[in-house]
Amino acid sequence: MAFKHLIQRLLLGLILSTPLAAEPVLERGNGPEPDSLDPHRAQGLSAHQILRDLYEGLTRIDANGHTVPAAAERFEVDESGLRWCFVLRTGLRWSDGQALTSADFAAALRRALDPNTLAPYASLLEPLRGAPEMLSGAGDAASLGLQMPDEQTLCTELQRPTPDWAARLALPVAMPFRDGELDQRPFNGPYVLEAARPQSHVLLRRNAAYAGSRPARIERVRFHVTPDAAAELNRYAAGELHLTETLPPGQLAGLRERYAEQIRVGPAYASYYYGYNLTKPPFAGNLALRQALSLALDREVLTRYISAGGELPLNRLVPPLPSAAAGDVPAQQRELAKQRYRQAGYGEHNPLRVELRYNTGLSHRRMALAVAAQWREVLGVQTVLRHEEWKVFVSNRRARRVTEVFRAGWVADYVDPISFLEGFVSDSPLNAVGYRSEDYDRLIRRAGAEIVPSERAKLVHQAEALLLADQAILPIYAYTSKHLVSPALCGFQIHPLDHHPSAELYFCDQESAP
Amino acid sequence: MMVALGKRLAASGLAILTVLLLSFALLKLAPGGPFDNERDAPVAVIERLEAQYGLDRPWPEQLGSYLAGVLRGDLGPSYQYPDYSVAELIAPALPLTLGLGGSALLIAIALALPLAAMAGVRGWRTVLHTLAAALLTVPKFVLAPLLILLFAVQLQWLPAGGWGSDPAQWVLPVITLVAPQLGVLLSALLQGMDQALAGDAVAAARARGLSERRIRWRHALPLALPLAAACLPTVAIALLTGSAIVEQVFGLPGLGRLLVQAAINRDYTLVLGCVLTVAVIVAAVNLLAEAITRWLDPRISAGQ
Repeated sequence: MAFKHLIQRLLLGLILSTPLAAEPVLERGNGPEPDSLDPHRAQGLSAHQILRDLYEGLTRIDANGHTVPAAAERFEVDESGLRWCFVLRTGLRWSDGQALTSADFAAALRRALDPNTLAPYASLLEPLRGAPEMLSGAGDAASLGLQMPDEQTLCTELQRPTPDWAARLALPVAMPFRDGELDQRPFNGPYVLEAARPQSHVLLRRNAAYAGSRPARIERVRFHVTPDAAAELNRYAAGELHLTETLPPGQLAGLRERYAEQIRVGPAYASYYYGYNLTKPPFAGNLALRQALSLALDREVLTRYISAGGELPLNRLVPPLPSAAAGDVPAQQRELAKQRYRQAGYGEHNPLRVELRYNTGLSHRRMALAVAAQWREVLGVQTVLRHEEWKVFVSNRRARRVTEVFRAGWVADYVDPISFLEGFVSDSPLNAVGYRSEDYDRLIRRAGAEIVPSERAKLVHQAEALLLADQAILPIYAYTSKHLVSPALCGFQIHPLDHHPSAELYFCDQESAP
Repeated sequence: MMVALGKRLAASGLAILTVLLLSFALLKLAPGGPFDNERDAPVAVIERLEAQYGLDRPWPEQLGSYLAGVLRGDLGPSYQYPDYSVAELIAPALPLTLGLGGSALLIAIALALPLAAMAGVRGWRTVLHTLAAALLTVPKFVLAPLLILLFAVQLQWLPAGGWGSDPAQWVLPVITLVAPQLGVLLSALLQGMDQALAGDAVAAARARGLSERRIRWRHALPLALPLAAACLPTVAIALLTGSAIVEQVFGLPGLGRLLVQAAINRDYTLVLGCVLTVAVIVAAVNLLAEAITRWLDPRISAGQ
């Protein structure tokens, strides 16, 4: 130990030493560079993780996936399902001391819906009356369905019942925002921004003016940019991080032996699947072929040996649900796969030749190889694997010109199956497979507006069943969230959307109860 | 002399412009654009984004307005990081890369000279040649993870990466950068030493009965210096451009990593800004090296 210090001093005598912070800083890995700290413009999950510390929306999603009040003390919806009122907690302030009122939340929604803001998530606010017009540039902010009976209350008028409205308002795109230079901006969350160094870290400090429900217990938090999971693991192993953003793919078993209970793996509300280009041969109008390719897969093998991160095999789009084929690909399933394959016009002497595209990355390559191997073994399909650099992959996937089978995935925005299913509506920009079904569109529209929960669940289920019966996609597994959590850090909870607000974390040697 | 300098400056300016034009063309030819993302935005939003950044205009017009901006000192906004302009992203990254490369260069020179002087000692020559070859052959992307595994993960003496909280974060990146460049300098110096030690000057010094130590340092090593000096601009440029790998592996917020990320994100203006910065530095290093060479050897006169 003494030698370590000696080495450090000797080698670094020339470089000025920075004084050590008196209080320990929570050091957390946060994946790629956050694209923006403007809650309305931010798109990446790494930016959202930081924004949930800096800002507090009207609602938030708790560890059970439920939508609960946050800056709002309570919220209620009227019988029509059209009018939602949010009552703010008393005494809320911005970090500069200014009172935080319902007008701030209304202003934020107006800004997010302003087409010039270019908010990537703004379309999730479309149920608000006047929002589609405003987003298209035709409407104006005054006609938005926003009312403020008093400084504590914000009422939103919707154009159609939207049972998941409160969940949508938990997203950063609905968080309050006051503009200003990044280093002078006021915040309303448990933390404020102390310093941001692009490509390196974002340092937050406890917000002394915060009067919300979840005050921070750790004085400072540093979010490190850690785009490479292996490098992040090294930094954790070297004692530089208390919490990692993820684990390197395919190493779970080995890491479990080494880190035991420091490994925290939980189900995530996100799915990994392959899409077919339904607008072109060989998949357009060939249901039997798509069925054959799906039946030929042994998802248990794919998750246990290939993704190898505790993922759940998935036979549907929306996780986590029981998977019929999990555990074995029985002989009759293989036979059925072969039968469908022949029906589709292929066979031993006339095998399907297909291109499988994925974005460059070890885990995607392993999965593509394994899927191709299973197709070949069961059906004799000849698969050409094509890996593409990320931006090329995404633009090809959207253009639907060269794609045949491609990797896809979805992380839900909030805990509701609709978040997965909406992307397959005919005119959705997310519909990379080119799925078009009037029945499906109608079911999703009805489900989106149905306020009786049991009826809504039924419609959602029907829509998903239709999508799966049409074999628009090839589901593979449900993601897991994977973290390393230092034994010194307490308060960490598995979260279906992988939200881990720093305010919930504390050092175990601190007083545990706030 | 002034005419020669003017010519050199004009040539450098032309080279920088060519690099910018080539980079611009390559970026435009590369498939995928800055707004292609996992969450595909509605077409209207992408069109509005492209209009805001002028990407809907014809290429020549885009290039013209970019170059006009550069002349005014405006490198444009970053498409990927709307909170920052390109200049605001490059400004903190550049000192890190230059500091890292500069310290690596000084350390490499400081180590190479005494090591090369040892070449005259019986038995050391082979050892030093082997060392130089070894340093040259171990790639940075192999050396860096090995150093991390040993010094950060196993021994826990030094940080595995990151930037800002601990000056010890310099050590492993600098070692990684020094190693191959020390190899380059050392092999150049050793080659020079071999020639010098077999030459007349050393034979004359030996005949005068000078000590071997004095011969190595005062008579042989100075003769080996020009060969090493000729390598210096290459070494300096290699340190600058080679920092990308080191910055990636150690998670350092330098210019190399910024450039790589910008290219991945198709952040056109940020790529061009980084390329411009690197091109200007490379041109400056070359001009400086040429000036030093002229000063060392007056036979290279103006115009020749």
